[in-house]
Amino acid sequence: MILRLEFLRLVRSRRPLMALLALLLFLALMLVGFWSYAQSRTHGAVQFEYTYENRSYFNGLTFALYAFFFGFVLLLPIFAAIEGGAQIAGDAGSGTLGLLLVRPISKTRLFFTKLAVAWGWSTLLTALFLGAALLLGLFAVGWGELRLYPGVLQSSDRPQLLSRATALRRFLLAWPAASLALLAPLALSFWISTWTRSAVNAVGTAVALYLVAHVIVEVHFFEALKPWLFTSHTTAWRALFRETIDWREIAGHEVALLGHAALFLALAFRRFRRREEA
Amino acid sequence: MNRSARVVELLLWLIAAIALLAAPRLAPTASEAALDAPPAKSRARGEWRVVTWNVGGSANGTAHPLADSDLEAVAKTLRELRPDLVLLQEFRYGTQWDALRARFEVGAGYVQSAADDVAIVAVRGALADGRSSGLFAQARWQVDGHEFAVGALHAAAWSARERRREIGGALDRTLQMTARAHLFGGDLNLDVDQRGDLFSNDPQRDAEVYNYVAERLLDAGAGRGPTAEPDRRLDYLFVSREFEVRAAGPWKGRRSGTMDHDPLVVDLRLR
Repeated sequence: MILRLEFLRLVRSRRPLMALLALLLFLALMLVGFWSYAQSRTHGAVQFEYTYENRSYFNGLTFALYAFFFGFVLLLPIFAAIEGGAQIAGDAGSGTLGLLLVRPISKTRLFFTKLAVAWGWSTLLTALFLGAALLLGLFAVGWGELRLYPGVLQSSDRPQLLSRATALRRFLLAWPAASLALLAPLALSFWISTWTRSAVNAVGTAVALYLVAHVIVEVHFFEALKPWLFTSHTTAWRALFRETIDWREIAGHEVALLGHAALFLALAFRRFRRREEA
Repeated sequence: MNRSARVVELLLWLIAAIALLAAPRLAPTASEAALDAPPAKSRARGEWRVVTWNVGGSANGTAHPLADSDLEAVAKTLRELRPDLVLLQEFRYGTQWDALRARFEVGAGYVQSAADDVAIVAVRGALADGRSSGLFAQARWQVDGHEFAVGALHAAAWSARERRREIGGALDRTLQMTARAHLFGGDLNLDVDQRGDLFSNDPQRDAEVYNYVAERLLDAGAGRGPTAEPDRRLDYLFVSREFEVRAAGPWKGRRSGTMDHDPLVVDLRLR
């Protein structure tokens, strides 16, 4: 009952619609970027596919992977943080949380229902984004084999070649791996959300903390801090796009993400069950 | 109700603790493996050791070629490594070759030098058809009945655009040489191991030129860690697929004075 109610409240909030529209706009901009890159580099002689490394490098699969990577790093954690902020701080600010707790429902059940709805939506959003990127790549350019080089994605230290069928299977595997990675920023936003009654403050703080952690991991100067930040592990799913998958390495990153998520959730739950609702 | 909530919270703490403790054991972060111990002195027949080393340094923010005071240290390292082929950068061939040869026996060795900076030294075997241009030298290395094409480059330090032109051109010229197999290396001054963010004026261009080489030849030192200060992988040896890389990595702790690169040591044999 409470699960259904939370789900309906999520749909009616229009947050899912806004997130989907933002992601589609992002994909459209990525597509324009890919086309204009090839146009400008070859003075219009070659469209889309050209790179210095390989004149037929980019195709629908490479586009999908690049788009998913940048969307995953820059946008999906923000939407996850929005859910965390809205689910607890938003409800607390509007007084809905207090009304919900008047019903015969435990704080534990309410907390984990909200978490399930938020993570479920994040997982679905990840699937929709990945699917849209693949479909757009297919219709705009066409799929082919997936060639990857060291560089922007930092997914491999040597060139990789995956057949189309293998690459599509890897995209399928990337979905749960990436979804689990979103649980950590979501749990972080849940924790922050338990300390405020303003969704804006909760989301703003969670997004700022995520961006700081992300930047620290990306900048080489902060090497010593990397083991302590969950953002060191969030893009571990890229390793699924190697010719030979190191499952042990991926498992290590996913377990670390689970550990960070559990830590934030423990902190969030501790605060949530102790605080008084108006 | 409070009790069950406490149990749930405890469970979360437990999961967090177990997962955070277990994760580093599953995915160790130190995957880069430099040659901490001296590389093996003995090699099987049909194996060759190639060393590329920028022997220059920097003092007070200014780069300089190999200091005469560091010649003995370089020779000592080479004596211990017993390489078959050496690619040197920032080496003043005009004034330092005789001094180095006096300290490090190169047998019937032959050197091809470019612009008093880059040198290809065949410690065993001989070099033929040597040519040089700018900071690029190329030659055929004839050893143990085989002939290999060798290209050595010291690429531009600051401009990614210059690097791209130099590396692309040097690689093409190396691959144009007909030979049993190809070797291309030196100080390429690009770093694609997530360390280009602070040092390159165009990391994307650097990634592209690295990929241009890596698609054609195997990067023997990939995943073996940084070779230069501060914590950058700038020195490379690329080899054609005819070679099998038996061991590779920078040998740490061999710098002297103000030197700022480690020697990259690669043991090869034909497949």
